[in-house]
Amino acid sequence: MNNRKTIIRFFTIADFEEEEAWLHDQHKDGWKLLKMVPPCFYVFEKCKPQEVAYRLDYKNNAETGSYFQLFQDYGWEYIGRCVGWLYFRKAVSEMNAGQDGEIFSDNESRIEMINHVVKTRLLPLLVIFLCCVFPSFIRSMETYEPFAVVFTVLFAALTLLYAYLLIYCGLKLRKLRKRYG
Amino acid sequence: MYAQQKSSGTVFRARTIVLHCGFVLGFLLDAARRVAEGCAAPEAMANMRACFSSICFMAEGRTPMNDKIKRIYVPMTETGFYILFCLKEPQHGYGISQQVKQMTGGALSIGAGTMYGTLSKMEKDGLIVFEREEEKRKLYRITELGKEILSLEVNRIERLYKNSKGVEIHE
Repeated sequence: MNNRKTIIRFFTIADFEEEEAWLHDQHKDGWKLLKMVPPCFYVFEKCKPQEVAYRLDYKNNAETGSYFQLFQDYGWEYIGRCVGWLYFRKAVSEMNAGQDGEIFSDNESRIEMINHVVKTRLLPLLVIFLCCVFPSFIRSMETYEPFAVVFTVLFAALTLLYAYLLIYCGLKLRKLRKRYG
Repeated sequence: MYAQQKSSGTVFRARTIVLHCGFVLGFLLDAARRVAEGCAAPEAMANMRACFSSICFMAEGRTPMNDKIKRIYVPMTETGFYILFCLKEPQHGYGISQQVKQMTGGALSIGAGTMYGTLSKMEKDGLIVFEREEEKRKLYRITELGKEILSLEVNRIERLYKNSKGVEIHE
């Protein structure tokens, strides 16, 4: 009865290529992705070990039927979506040429997707950091109420987390953009 | 929905009026300068005619917008060129990709994400237009603007090809 497993794994918005490779390795080991539960739960189902390419597309708004139809025509199986990311897979045996295994065939469209991620995910994160998290941290340091220390520690942790994520994702996305540019 | 249309219409009208005022003002200033310089009247008349025709173009809402789009699309990527070329006949995304594969002997294959992104962008910029839907597949067709850009591209590539072969061209 043990034919399902759930793995908690966190990938940032800049790690989509690592995520694709990891999902590919899981399928090779006989675990196919069944669904995603936000923010970071992956539900797998036991299957026959197989070489399957996983690809992620990022779309901020709801996509219409024609979008899914197009991917289906290309032979991509739609698995599900999770905070803007859409998961597709295609068995390597079904591919005709090497390029068939990619959803983006030129660098322009890869860069466009990265820019879309920056605009709708990274920038809002930066705004939240600069307008909410960081000012709250400064304010909590300046108050001398009994519980202020708790808040200070909490906001300090948040500030560090945000700063780390912003710097990490910013640098990584810039590196990706440079590689494809 | 109606209010939105109405307000966007108002914005457009306001923008047109501002642009026209700018043109008229520019013309008046220019005319004043010419009069001050003691220029003859016929030249001022020609100037006025030129100004009038440019206003007509502005009213159609074409020239400045199209120039910007031309700058973006010329020169265009191989993917963009083939997509636009195939849309001389109404076609959907996957159909285009199959056609391109056939035309290039499999050398160029356009990915699903690239296809969707390019079609959306070209539709937004007015190079192609949504024709109809067949079993959830959207069929597109090239517009006049798209044809214009395609012919600019064909001329550019033809020149490139002839020059690379060392053939003299006379234009």
